Amino acid sequence: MTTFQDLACEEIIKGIEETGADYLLTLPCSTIGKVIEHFENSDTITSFPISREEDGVGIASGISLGGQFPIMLIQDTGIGNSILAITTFAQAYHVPMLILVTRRGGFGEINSAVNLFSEPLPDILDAARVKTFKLDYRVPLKEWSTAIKQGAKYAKDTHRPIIVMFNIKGGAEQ
Amino acid sequence: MMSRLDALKILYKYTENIPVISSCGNTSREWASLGRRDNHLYMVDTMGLTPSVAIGVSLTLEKKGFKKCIGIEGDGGVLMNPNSLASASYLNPRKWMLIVFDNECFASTGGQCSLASRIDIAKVAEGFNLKTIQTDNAEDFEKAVQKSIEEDGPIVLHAKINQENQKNPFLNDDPAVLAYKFSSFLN
Ligand SMILES: Cc1ncc(C[n+]2csc(CCOP(=O)(O)OP(=O)(O)O)c2C)c(N)n1
Ligand SMILES: [Mg+2]
Repeated sequence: MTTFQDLACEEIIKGIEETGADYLLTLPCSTIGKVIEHFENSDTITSFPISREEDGVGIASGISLGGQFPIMLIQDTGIGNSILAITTFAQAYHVPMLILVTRRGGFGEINSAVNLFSEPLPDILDAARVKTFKLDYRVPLKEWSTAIKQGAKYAKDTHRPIIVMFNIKGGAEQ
Repeated sequence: MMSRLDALKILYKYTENIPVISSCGNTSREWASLGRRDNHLYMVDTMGLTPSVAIGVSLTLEKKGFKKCIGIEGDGGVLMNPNSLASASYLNPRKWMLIVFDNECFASTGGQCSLASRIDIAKVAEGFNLKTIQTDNAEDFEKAVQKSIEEDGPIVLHAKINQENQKNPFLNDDPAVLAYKFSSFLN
């Protein structure tokens, strides 16, 4: 049976493809394995793994300064590993990039620690003024690819990193 | 042993048309004091990130005429973000060059002892499978700079320097302007 997660991954793939991005930097979350596998075999977007999200923000920033467009695909705890680079480099130096973030914590989460970062994360990002758009069960799935495409355009048009965060687990707002 | 400023003066001679990204603290200030250029990106914070940014830039240089993109980082910065060495090893960016100024201390914050006093950073880079050159004087450093710029492949130049810090005014330019000049130079 096709699950919400399967359909969400398809929409995310479609969205990333429609952005026309040059690079995709990934650090896997179990829920988006399909997306990463898809782009490992892509000949339009160069994808590669990163070992820590902070390093990823640095590499993505270099790509952007060099005139190409990067997307990072990470799980939300990775923002904890990279918020200094996002604010004091990408944001301060007006470097456009799209950061796609999968949600952890909340209903459906079985990890007993991750919620302590994932739940307050939206407030942390708001306090740090990192512009974040949130996709969950309330936004029809067929709109997700459009949101990703618009997120990339918005990052370029407003000269800064933009986060699009999605909850693939379903359930209520965290 | 040479000072950071001695080393930067040497580097300045060979990098008129090469993008150079300098790390926060006194390194960017000393680098800027030699004369500002649009091929320079001065980082004012985000300690440890210059090697990563240089990787990203060097990936985009494949079809451009620049020989290298050089990141300048301190020993403290490199040990804050050794992940960049892993990425450089994995991605193998042909035009990436990293200069590590190793004074075995956090010179910019007053010279407090750093971990590099007990760690050989050249060996760390070699452990990541990166080609590495080590120098501890001005003459060898100058030769290494000339050689590394011509190298076809990622390279780490590990330069031992003394703990001297030149007093220079703070760089408090709008970072957006710093980035705009650098990006315009590249594109
Ligand atoms: C995350 C973070 N922690 C601490 C600092 C303060 N700080 C600025 S420069 C610096 C020293 C950097 O040491 P190193 O990379 O060895 O460069 P050096 O000044 O010795 O050339 C420190 C600790 C900082 N900017 N960011
Ligand atoms: Mg030092």
